[in-house]
Amino acid sequence: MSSEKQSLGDAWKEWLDESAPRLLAYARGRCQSAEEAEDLLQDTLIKLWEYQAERSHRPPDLPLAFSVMRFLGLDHGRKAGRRERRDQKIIQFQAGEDHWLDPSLEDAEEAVMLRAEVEALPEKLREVLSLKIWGGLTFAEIGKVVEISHNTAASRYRYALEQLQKRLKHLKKDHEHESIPQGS
Amino acid sequence: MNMNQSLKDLESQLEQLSPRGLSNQGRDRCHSTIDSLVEESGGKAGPSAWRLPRFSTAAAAMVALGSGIGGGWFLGVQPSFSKDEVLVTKSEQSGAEFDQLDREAWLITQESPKVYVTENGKIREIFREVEVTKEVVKHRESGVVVTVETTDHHVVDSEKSEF
Repeated sequence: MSSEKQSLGDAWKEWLDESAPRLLAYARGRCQSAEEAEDLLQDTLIKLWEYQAERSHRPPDLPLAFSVMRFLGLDHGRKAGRRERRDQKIIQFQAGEDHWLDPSLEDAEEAVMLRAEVEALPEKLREVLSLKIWGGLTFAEIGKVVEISHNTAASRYRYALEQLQKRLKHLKKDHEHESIPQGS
Repeated sequence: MNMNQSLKDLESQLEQLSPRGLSNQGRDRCHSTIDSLVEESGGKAGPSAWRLPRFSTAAAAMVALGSGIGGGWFLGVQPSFSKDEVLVTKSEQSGAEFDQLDREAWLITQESPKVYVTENGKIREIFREVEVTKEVVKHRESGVVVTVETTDHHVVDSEKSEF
């Protein structure tokens, strides 16, 4: 491999290592499993390479990567039905939990609760939340990726936060009720 | 966007949930894909040929038994295999120690046929076909069930009969 190709490959690998967690967090919202999300990321990588041919194959901007992943993810969703039966078999043998976010060590209990609530959000809200918090995109960039106005992106984001806040309040209240000793 | 303090606190909490990175296997696969893309740039092969199947990287002949198999991710960063995981070679898998529980195969055609004319004037078409085979087998002794996915790339070259 020539040194030019070598440095291009290194640039893409560096870009991938840096961007993969953000892209995977988004991919997980569109896929049934971690493995499917990694497949989607790999497909995205190939498609991005094609797109970047006009730009000397330099690594892409993150918003473009999210757009391509979203487009491929839609097709991925259509194929998912066909694979459902197969995946059911695999899921049976999974021993580990299959979450796409790691809670920090501090406040682990609350973080686990929060993670569960994020995963339970409606797709439209979770998508915007994921792109903002873990994707690091602006509302204008999110708008382009999701094909909505930046105002709608901002509204969805705020609504997602409010939903989460409401759910967490409920859960905390329930938790407090459970921890009060009977008869006190 | 104006947000009250409690929503800002919630945002900070969300930022503490760090997205997981690629598994070691996934990272190797993507890096191999990049190497192939870079190496083949300007070549004739279509991009579909560069997608490396899940079980065909460095660990191509290996089949993961146990909790790693279905993409089970573990708490912690990027551990692609658990300590108690056992690895066997594909040749062992095909032996008599395994019972086949299920087998599925399907074709994915990832590119349109390319038509060409041979030296003696015959019109032919050539395209690449990708065949995916999924097998579920059970190891008789341990009772562990393994799902094996293989992807084969075929080049189909045939006479074009109609337009």
